[in-house]
Amino acid sequence: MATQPTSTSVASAPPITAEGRRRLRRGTDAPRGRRGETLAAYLFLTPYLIVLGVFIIFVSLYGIGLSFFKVDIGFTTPEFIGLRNYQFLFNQLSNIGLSDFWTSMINILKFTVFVVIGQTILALVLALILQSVILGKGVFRTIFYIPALTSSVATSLIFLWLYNPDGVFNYLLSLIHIQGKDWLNDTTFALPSIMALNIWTTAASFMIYFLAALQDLPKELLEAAEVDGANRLQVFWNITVPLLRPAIFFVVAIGTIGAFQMFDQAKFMTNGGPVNATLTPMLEIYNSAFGDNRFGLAAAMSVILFIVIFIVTLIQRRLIDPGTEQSSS
Amino acid sequence: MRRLATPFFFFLIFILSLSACGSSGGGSTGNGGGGGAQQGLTSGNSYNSCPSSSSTSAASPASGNITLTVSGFSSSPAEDALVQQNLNKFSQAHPNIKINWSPIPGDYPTKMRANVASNTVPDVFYLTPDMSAQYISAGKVLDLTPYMQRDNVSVNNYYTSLVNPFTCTSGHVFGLPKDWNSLGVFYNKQMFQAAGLATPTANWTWNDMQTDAQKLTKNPGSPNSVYGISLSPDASRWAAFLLSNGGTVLNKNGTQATFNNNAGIDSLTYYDSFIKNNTGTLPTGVGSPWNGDAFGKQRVAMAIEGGWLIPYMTQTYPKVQYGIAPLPVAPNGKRANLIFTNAWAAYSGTKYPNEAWQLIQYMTGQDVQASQLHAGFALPTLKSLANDPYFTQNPGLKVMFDSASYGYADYYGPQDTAIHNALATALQSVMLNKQTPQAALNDAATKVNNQLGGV
Repeated sequence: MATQPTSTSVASAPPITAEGRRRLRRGTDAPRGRRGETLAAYLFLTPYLIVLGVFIIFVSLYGIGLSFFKVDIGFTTPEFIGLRNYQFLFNQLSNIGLSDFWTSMINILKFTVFVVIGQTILALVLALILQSVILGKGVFRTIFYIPALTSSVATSLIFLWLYNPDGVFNYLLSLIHIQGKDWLNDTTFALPSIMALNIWTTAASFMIYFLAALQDLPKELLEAAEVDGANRLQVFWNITVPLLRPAIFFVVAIGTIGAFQMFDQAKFMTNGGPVNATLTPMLEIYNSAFGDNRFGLAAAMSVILFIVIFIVTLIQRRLIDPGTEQSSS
Repeated sequence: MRRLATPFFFFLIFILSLSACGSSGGGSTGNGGGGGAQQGLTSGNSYNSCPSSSSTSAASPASGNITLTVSGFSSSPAEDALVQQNLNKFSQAHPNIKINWSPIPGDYPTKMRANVASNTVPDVFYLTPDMSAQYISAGKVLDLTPYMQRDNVSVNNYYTSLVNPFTCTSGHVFGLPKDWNSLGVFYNKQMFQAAGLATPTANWTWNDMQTDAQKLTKNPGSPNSVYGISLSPDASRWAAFLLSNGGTVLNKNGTQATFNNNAGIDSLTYYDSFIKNNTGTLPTGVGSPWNGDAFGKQRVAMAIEGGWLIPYMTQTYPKVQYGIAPLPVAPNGKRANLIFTNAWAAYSGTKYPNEAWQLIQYMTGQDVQASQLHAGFALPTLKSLANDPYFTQNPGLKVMFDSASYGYADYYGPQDTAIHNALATALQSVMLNKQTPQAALNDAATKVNNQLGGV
C-alpha cells in the first residue's frame, strides 16, 4: 500500500532537504528571491506531488472511506454501514481459528519475525563478506544481487519446482538418506518454506544498504580501536554495530513493511493453503475484494493492516534507533 | 522540516478537495413491481433472488444494420475457432447483424466486474455460475423468459440442473447453458490389467473402488510410488460423494449449511480413507499440480476428473490407454455427479435485446450444440442430442453425458465462492491429518453460516 514510499522518503530525505535549505539560504539574501526560488522548487515538485496526491494520498483516504460502506462496485448502490465492517472483523476474534483474516494476521506476524531477523542478519553477513573480499568483489556482488533483480513470480516458480516432492531439495536430502517432505503442501513446513525463499530474495537488496553504510564508517574509529588492542569481534560488536544503527533501523523498518505486505509468493506458490497455513492479510484482502466482491470489508482489513504496520514501525523506531527522533527535528 | 510541511499540506488539501468530487455510486436497480408470481419454469432449488424489476414483454426487432458485442473467456485456440465459426454462421443467416467477438483473456469474472462498474458490458456474454447470483439479483442480465415464451423455446428442452444456476427463485431464466461437463473416473487400462483387475462396471460401488485402489497401489511413500487413485481436496470433487450419500450442501432455502450431518461426515471419511490407507494420494503427493497430470504421468491408476481431461490426454499423454467409468454407487444405492456449466446471457442495458436473444437462441440451439459435441469439446445441453451417433463412437463421453439425469450443478448460490473455499479448507485439513471429518466440517459450516449471515 501507500506506506512504503512515504516511509522511504522520511528515512532518507532529511539530510538532502537540510542541505538544500542551507544552500538556498547561502545563495540569496533578498526575501523576494527566496520566495521565487521556493515557488520554483514547488513547480519542479508539482509532477511528483500530483502523482503522490492522486495515486497515494487520495487513494489511501478513499480506501479508508470505503471501509465504512458495503460496496460491490457496479451491482448495487453502496450502502453506508458505519463501523459494521470493523465490527464483523473484530467479532471474529472470539474464534480466531475460524476467521481467515485473523489466521492470516497470525501467519504474517510469524512470517515477519522470522523473515526480518533472517534477512537482516543475512544481509549484514553478506555485506561484511563483500567488505573483506578483495579479489573478485564485483563478481560476488553481482552474484549476491541477482535474486533481488529477478522478478518475484519467476523466483516463486523456480522454488515451486525446487520444493516439489520429486524436486531438487528432496533429491539432495535423499543423498544423505533423509526422506524429504511435500514442503509446500505440509501445514507445518509451507510457511517456513516461503520464509526461506523470501529471506533469500530480499537479503540481497538490503545487503546494498549495509555495504553503503559500511563504506561510510569513520576509519579513524576502527583503527583507534585496533590500536587499543580490541580484537575483530570486539570491534564489530562495540564499534561497527552501534555505528550501523541507522542503517539497521532502516533495513528492519523497510523489511517489516515489505514482509507484512507479502502477497505474490503466497498467491503463486500455495494460494494461501494448505489449510490457510500461508494465507497472508494481503491475499485475504485480495480474495475478499475480487473473489467475494466485498470491497468495503476488504478496505476495513487494509486499514487494520495499516494500523498494525504503523504501530510496529513506531515501536521499532523507539527500540532500535532512539537517536533519530532528536536529530531530525 | 516543519517549515516545509505547512504549504505542503495546504497543497494536499487543495488536491483532495478537487478529487473528492469524483466518486459516485454504481448503477441502481430502480424500483417497480415484483417479478410476478409466474409459474416456475424449473424444478429444483435456485438460490438466486430475483431482480426488483425486469421487463415482462419481449422487445421488437431493431431496424437497420446493428453490431452486437460478444464476449467470453477464451479456452483453447481450437475451441475459440469453433465459437468464431458458429458466430459467423449466425451473421450469415442475419445479414443486418454484425458480430464483434472479443474474448477476454485472464481472469474473466474480475474483468467483467470492471466492465459492470464502468457500464461497458458486452451485449451478449458468458455467464458463469459464480457470477450469476449477483448479476441476476442486481438486474444486470436480460430476463429471457418473455422471449422464450414468444419463440416457444421451452426450458424443458434443457436439463434442469444446467438451467438452475441461471434462474431466480420465481423461475425466470436469465441465461441458457452453452455447454457442460461432469465427472467420471478415468482409469488406466494397462494398470488394471497388470493388477489382474476387471475394468470398473457401470454399477461399481464405493467398496469396489476401495478394493481396486488397494490392489493398484505399489510402493506407497517411496519416490517411485504408484497409487490407486488421485484425489484433490476440492469441493468440486468431494461434493459428488456427499450428494450420492444423500447429503446436501445447503438447506432448501440456501440459508444454512447442511454438509456437516452424518451423510457428510461419512462421505468425507470415505473420501479420506484412500489417503489414510495409503491407497490414494493428493496430486501434490506425487508432484503434480492436478489429478490429470498425475494420471497422465501414470503415477496413479485412477483420477476423478471431467471431460476436459480427454483433449488434455490426447495432446499431452497420447500413449496412455484409459477408459472412463461413472462415479461409484454409494452404499445406499444412490449415485450422483457434479455438473459444471456456463451460460450465454445478455446485458439488461443492451440496445438490441431482441437480436441478443436471437444470438443466444442460436448458440444454444441444435446446430451449435451438435457442432460442439462433434468437435469433442464439451457436452450438449439439449436433451434432444442424447442419442447422437457421436456417443456410440465415444462411450466415455456418453458415461458423463448420462449423469445429466442424476447430477447436480456445482453451484451454491450467492456465497458460492466462500462455500467452495470453506469446504476446500476442511478437505485439506482432513486429508493432511489435521482434523477429523466431523471437526473440519463443523468448522466449515460455522464459516459458511457466518458468510450467509453476512455483513
